[in-house]
Amino acid sequence: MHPKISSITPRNVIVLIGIIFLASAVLIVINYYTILITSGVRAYINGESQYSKGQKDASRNLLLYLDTHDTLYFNRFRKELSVNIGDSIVRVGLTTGADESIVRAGLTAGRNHPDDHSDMIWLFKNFGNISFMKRAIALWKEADYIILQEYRLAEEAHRKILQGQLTAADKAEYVTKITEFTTGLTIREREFSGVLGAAARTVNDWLFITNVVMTLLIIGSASGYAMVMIHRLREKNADLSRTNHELDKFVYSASHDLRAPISSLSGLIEIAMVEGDVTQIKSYLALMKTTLGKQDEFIREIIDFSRNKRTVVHRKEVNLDTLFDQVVARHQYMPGAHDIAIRKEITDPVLWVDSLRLEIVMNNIISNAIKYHDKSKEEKYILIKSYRKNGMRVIEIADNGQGILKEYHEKIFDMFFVTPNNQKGSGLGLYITKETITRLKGTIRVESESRTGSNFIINIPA
Amino acid sequence: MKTDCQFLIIDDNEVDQLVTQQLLKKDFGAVEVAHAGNGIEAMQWIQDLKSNLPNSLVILLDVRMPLMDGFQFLDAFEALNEDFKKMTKIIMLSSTLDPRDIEQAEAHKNVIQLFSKPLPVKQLHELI
Repeated sequence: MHPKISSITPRNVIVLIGIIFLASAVLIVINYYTILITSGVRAYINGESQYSKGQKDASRNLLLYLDTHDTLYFNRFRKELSVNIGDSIVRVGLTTGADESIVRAGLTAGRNHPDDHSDMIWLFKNFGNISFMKRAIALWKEADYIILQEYRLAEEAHRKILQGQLTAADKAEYVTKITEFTTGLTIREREFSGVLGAAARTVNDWLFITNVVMTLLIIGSASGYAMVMIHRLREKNADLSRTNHELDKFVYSASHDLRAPISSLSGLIEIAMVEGDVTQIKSYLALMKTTLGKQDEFIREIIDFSRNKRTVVHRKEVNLDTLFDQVVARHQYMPGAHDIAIRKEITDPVLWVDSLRLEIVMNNIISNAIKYHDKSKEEKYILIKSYRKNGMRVIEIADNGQGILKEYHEKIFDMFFVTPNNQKGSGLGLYITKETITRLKGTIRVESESRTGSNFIINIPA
Repeated sequence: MKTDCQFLIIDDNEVDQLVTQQLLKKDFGAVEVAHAGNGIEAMQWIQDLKSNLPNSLVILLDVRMPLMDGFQFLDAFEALNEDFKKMTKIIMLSSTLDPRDIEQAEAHKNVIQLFSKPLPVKQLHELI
């Protein structure tokens, strides 16, 4: 009915929920990996500072050793350089795929915090070939080579000192080289930290953007979902209040229609009681009988109405020919029924349909056809035709009765609609007929002309 | 005075028309009683009356009728000239239980009373 409501299909709701779940999952995964990456990067930068400190302390001790020839300094040199050698083992181990225990031992020697070990290994293994990490590892390798040279220089100097062969020229050369090593390493160490730091910042920027986008997506979808639900609730509420209103109307109309004959009867009794003429009293009794008959018919209609509302559709094999005969027989005592000829043109009478509902439909149409027959016509008839068309079963019930004015064709199927005539229907019969056919997933329409007759055309899947 | 009083029953139910007429005749004696099946017929009857006005007119009006119901008739009645309205008394007569109908009838300035069917003649007599 409403354009906005018709676009809210169950599929759309599933899509919205899907987006929420997917965005949440993406958010969780991305945040998890970002934490791993930044934690790994932070550990490497921290490791770099340990590396740098180790090398500088080692160089200082080596210079002191060259000055004092005291082996205490040489031992300190070795101890400090073991940090760099440990890191070197880590790099070589991870590059060549060595056992993890060797790598972890190297990390410990490199004075890296045990809690960081896993993150560092993970980052190396997964990002070793990614630009920023590749560059960092290349710098690390160059640094390791410098460390190796410094180590060899120290061993050579140590041997010369032990043998007393260290000349002033040697010493000067060593000091120059050690300074060169330190300078070279400092440059690389800075770049190493710079590369990793830049990578961490880039990752953070992307993480922020992704978080914002995903959060907006989740909020958007959730609001959409909430709106759909609120809309549905409103629709349901509107439906309910409409149903309540209809029920109200129905109860009052039905109670009026149930009470009206009682009022009539009570009035008839009142006037009969003071009437002395037996013939007159008999005419009142006849009117009482008609009134009672109408009330009985109305109660039947109410029962049909509720039966159609509540009972589930139950299909079975039905012989239309037999059913039609039964319905006609039921109405044989109605005034004028005897004068009406019954004609049948039924091909393939066996239907697969809800027999109870088909009976309700036939009852209403046949009783109308008899009730509104045209006394002025010589040959009164009711004709039932049935055939298949476009996969549907068509049932036509035609008569040459009083007919229905064009202006009422639309309204006759409305609840409590009554045309002005002398028969005083309840306004339920054709309403129930249409409701019942709707439950059978069929359609009904009327072709009629006043004073000529009516033809009710039913299409049902059967 | 009595004999100058004309009745108009507006009711689509023929049995109720008969009952009301008989009840009126029983209590008021020989009075003139006219019938209309709905509001439209009633308005037509009033139009036809124009030249031949009675001293007073009592309309017994049903609520539920096809084409023009009791309340629609009251709206149409409102448009008639004041002199005619002054000499006319409208009493609603129905078997309705709908509180909205009862409320609407009781609140209507042109309706004297809403009676439940069958017509309580004695009460009507006291009223007019």
